[in-house]
Amino acid sequence: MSKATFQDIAITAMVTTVGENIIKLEDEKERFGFDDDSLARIQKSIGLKTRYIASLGVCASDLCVQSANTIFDNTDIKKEDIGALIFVTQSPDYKAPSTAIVMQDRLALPNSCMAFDINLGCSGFIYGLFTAFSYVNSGINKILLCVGDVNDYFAGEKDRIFTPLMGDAGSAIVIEKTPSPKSFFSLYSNGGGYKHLIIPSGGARNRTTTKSILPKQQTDGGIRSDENMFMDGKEVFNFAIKTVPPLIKEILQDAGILAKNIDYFVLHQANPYILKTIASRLKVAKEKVPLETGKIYGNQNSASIPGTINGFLSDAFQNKKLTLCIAGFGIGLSWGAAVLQTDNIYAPQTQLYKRRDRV
Amino acid sequence: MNLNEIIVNSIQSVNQDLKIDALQNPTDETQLFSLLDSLGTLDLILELESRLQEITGRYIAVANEDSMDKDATPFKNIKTLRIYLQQRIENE
Repeated sequence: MSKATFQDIAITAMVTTVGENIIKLEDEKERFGFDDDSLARIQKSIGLKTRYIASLGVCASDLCVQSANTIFDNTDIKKEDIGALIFVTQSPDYKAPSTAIVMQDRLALPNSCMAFDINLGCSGFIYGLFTAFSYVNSGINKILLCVGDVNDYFAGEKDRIFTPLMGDAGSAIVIEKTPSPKSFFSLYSNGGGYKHLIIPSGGARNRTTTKSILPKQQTDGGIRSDENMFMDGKEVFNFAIKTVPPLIKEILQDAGILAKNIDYFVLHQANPYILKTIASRLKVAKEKVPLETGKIYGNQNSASIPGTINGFLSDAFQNKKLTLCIAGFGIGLSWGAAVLQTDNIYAPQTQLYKRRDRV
Repeated sequence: MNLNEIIVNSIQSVNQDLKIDALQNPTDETQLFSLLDSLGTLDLILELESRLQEITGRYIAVANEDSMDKDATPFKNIKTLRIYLQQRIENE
């Protein structure tokens, strides 16, 4: 069982950068072939309003580099103290090498900084954070964790099922050795559900062919190629509703804390109804469970938890000591949760991407 | 208004957008789950919650952990949905 407890390790800075183009759902009627009825239906059931999309050619690493530079420019955290750079993404700059290693050079981090990628989506922040806490626990003083995706890399351009939900974001988080109460992690995977969220082709199992890159009308109404992300909405909903409430109950129990003593439950922003249902099941006050991120920014994948903190809770995180429960769940299938404290961390409002940080 | 009418009216309301022939005049045996995609099922859940709240004056959460489980879903057909909602109303 992947459970761990850490002491005197904490997040000290968190910045999120989002794509610079703000797109309203109604602006995409033609792109996705929505009529007025279907548009109203999506707005009602999922609450989608806008999403923040990076310009073509901007990579997730570009968003993360801007986020990381914002930390280095505005805090006492020094580049030379970073001992590891971990990048969680499904949209790497290249198939090889790991994008994190390229980012080490772009950020002018020392060569003594180890760097590698983790391929995960919506559970990625929890997995990445757990990895970072583990490395600090093993003796590395400071870690730069970057998480994020740009969706045009894998979302079908005209896939009305998946693409309208998604937003581009890249977050940078610093984790370091510092006096702090215990934090608790719990992580899970179930590869039996790997087909529910998948890019079927383009890897070694199903190689790229002239057919695999051709978009085609799918039985669920989406238009996508075999190299675009497929999501089985019913299975993913089912997975989230069944998995997350017991996961959160378990991590609260592990931490020996009652739900009423948690300041915020920051969950992966899959869709507001899933979040409302989870909150209701846990009998948690709704103001403790932010759920607006997907409506405003789009689903930010691994960046959705920091994206929610920077997007909606910046003041509280910058000015208070908080006890948090965080949980991510998605592709793999994979899921995880943590209970931890933050103490007046550097967490400014979400910022738009500016071109200066691009390679 | 009885529960059956609430369900049928909710389905017909959702189907105004979906335009699925088999949902125009649904019967007890109409296979809801196989006809609706995830968004359609979510629409129906929201429509039912809204109508139930209007009538009962209280919020009744319609989704449960089996809502989108193909084997255990209460949305299999109108009959299974009616039995499920009745229990939900009594237990909430």
